[in-house]
Amino acid sequence: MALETRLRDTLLRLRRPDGGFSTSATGSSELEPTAVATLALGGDPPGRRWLEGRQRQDGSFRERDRPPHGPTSAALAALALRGEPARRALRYAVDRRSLPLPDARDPDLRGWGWTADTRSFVEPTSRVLIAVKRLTPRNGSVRSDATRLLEEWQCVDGGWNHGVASVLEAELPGYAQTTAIALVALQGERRPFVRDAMRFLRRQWRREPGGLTVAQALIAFRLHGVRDEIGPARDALARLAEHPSLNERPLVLAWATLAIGADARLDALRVTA
Amino acid sequence: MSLTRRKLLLRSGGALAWAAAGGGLLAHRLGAFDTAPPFDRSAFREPGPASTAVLRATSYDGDLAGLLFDGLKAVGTDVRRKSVVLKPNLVEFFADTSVNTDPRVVVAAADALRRLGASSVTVAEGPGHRRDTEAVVIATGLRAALDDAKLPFVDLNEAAIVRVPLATRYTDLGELWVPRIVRDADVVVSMPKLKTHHWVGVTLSLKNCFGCMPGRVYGWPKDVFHVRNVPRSIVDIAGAIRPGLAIVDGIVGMQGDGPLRGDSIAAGVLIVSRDPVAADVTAARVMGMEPEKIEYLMEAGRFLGQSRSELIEQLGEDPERLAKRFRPAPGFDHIVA
Repeated sequence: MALETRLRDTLLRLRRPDGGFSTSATGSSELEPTAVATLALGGDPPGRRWLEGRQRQDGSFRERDRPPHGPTSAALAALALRGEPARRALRYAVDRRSLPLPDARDPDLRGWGWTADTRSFVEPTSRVLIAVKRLTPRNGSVRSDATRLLEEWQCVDGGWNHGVASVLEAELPGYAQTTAIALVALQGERRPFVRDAMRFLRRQWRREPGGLTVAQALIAFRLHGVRDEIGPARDALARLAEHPSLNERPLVLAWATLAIGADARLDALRVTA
Repeated sequence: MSLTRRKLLLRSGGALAWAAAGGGLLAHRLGAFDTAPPFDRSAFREPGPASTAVLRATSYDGDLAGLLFDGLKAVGTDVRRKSVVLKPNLVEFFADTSVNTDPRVVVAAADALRRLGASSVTVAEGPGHRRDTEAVVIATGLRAALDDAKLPFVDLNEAAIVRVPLATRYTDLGELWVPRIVRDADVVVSMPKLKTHHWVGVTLSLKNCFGCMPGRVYGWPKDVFHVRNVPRSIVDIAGAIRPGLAIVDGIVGMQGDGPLRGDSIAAGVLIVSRDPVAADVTAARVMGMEPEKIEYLMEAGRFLGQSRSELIEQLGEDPERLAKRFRPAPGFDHIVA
């Protein structure tokens, strides 16, 4: 069976009875995995209904007996929704900026965090940047702030880690996974720091051989047109899919399905500078 | 960002900016318990005497399972017909460093606990820095070791979670979202690496409980707790997890700028206890530190386990005889014995 079909079928088997997806095989549906799975399944109607059914008027999402979702999961949901629900979700995410990182050059420049009451980090800020570029490309201030922050947070090796590039004068290294998601957000940017980041990703992704990393690196390579890395990354993902643990991890499966799927599926993440 | 610019940032006030965020760097590191927390600490039962086994182990290639079996028996471990979750420290992966609990110790502990009658043994961790747990598990060699030993692994950053009200109030959180597998386990075994730590002095079985907190709720690098104060968060989290066993991997530890950027040091010990506070007190002594000067450890000693050295029975090797002089983390010279 083709890898794409196998990943998609496994993902579908992990759908929860309410139509959504969890981060694990046994958990209840949550916003982030449902949003990513909906994208991976090409706008999956049950997933979209789950998202729409849980959206509040302010754009946030109600999750029964769960902790409040991070505001930038709403940005992922915005990519999976259409029309007014998508715009509401995006507004909600955009409006909830976090505290600046401790070593911020400009403490007034605030990005987005994993939760509303903590500091700004790379992946949440990248999610918002992708969604803004995709859905409200004229929102220049968000685009400019998020891009400036990503440039500021870049590690000396050219990659991004969670967002703290140095602690107590020690430089910290970048990670392939966070670098990949930041590069998705920075499509079309032709500035040197983006080229440095792609060079980092090309040499680093094989050293971090996890499903989430390889899937997101493959997405970044495809969206940036880095053709010589696409085949090896696909092969690596196929090898990872041989391990039974992937069958119990819907969020990773969803990213992998998206990474391996048709070009049209990736359109949901395709943005311009 | 260029190295030059980042160094310049640090010189021009980066450290002060750290201090301005989330309560302040110095407040995080020292004096976190100078103000009494807003709950009645005397309501908790005072911990009783404890015992700790210090086991000499100079290599990862010996019969670690046999050694741990003897050590676990010596401290009175009873896991018959119990479900056990082993929680090693896999906070991050840097090649050729001693950041993480060695996979051979994890597998040996599982073997020993199975021999002691555990009904199930699961290995579980939620790395604090990395979103891709699988990458860490593969890169550290843990996946290959677990597959060989037919041991299941659960990613605590992704696992199903439940709400647990906090009996303590060292932070303002009031409750924590805890992986169901951790909440439901009969015994949680905290398996830290013997390391120094640049926020709190040492990171051992109590601090290791940070990895039980799901990243999808608390962010990476578990930032909710950094913003709220690391030492106070340690005590709240460990109080919620309540590990029933501690097995400290000190065969090779980390000194200096731990928990990530320090240097390896061959300490040649495994430390086992049913009391995580007693295990950490003993481990600190093995590192050449004064546990009485490690604030979060003394605070945990009020209710979570025994922190008074004179009430901890030392089995196996004498910790003073095996003690090494670990180079302290920057800013923690005052905890050196």
